Amino acid sequence: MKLINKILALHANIKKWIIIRVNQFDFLPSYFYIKSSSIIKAMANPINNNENPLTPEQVAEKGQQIYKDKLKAILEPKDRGKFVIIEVESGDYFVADSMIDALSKAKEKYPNKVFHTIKVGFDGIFKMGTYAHRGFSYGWTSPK
Amino acid sequence: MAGLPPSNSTPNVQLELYGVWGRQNPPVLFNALIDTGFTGGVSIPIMTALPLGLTLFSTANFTLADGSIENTFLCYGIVALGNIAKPMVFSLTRGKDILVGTEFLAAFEAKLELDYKAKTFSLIPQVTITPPPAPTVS
Repeated sequence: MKLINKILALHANIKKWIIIRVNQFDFLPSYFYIKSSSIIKAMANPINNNENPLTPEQVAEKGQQIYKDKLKAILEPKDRGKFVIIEVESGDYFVADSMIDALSKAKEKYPNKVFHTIKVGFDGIFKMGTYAHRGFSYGWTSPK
Repeated sequence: MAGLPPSNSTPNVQLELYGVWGRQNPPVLFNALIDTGFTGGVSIPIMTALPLGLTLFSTANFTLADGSIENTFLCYGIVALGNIAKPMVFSLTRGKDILVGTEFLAAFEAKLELDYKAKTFSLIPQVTITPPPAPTVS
């Protein structure tokens, strides 16, 4: 009887473990483990238009403004080179060494929002070399 | 990953990319140019990104080599290089090529070797995969 109970407990645990894995990684190879599981979960969240009433121009403009007015003085002395993701309506921000880690934090609180991202102390989040050329932008003016 | 780069051109690598629609069966592979002058993860044409189900999460600015500032949309999704998959930030472009940059190489802890004399190229991901913890009996 004790052995049956033990087998049943083991079976339940394995089932639970498999369900968690399937929920989190259903489109990944089973041998693969991703640290940023909140991003994977967030990928299943549909975007709700009502939660993103601003145009891309407005998001970028407000994001740059918030950074310039409030975050620059706070972040640049200690977090230069890190990434800050700004939720422009509330002014909330999330800082991490990588964009993926900052995004994980932001998605925990705002799963459906579109943010503005800045690399602390830099004009752009990345650099592009000679391969890229003008005309890659999407039409809004880039506020500095 | 190994191959012969066309003479005097950029080496490329085959990647599997996917977003909310998950992995395709059979997997859909894309050729991406390795651009070490690009410090981001993956730059992808918008017309390729949308059918994959990459998820928009941000606007951002980036700088060109001449110091000018351009803007882009950022999405997130998964990049698989061989048997290793990683979450990655994708920037959308209006160009036609997929580029992978130094952030991509760093994410896979990749060793990149180019030999234009021998006409060989290798990209070896050196990242270690941590398996999830095994279940325990209570």
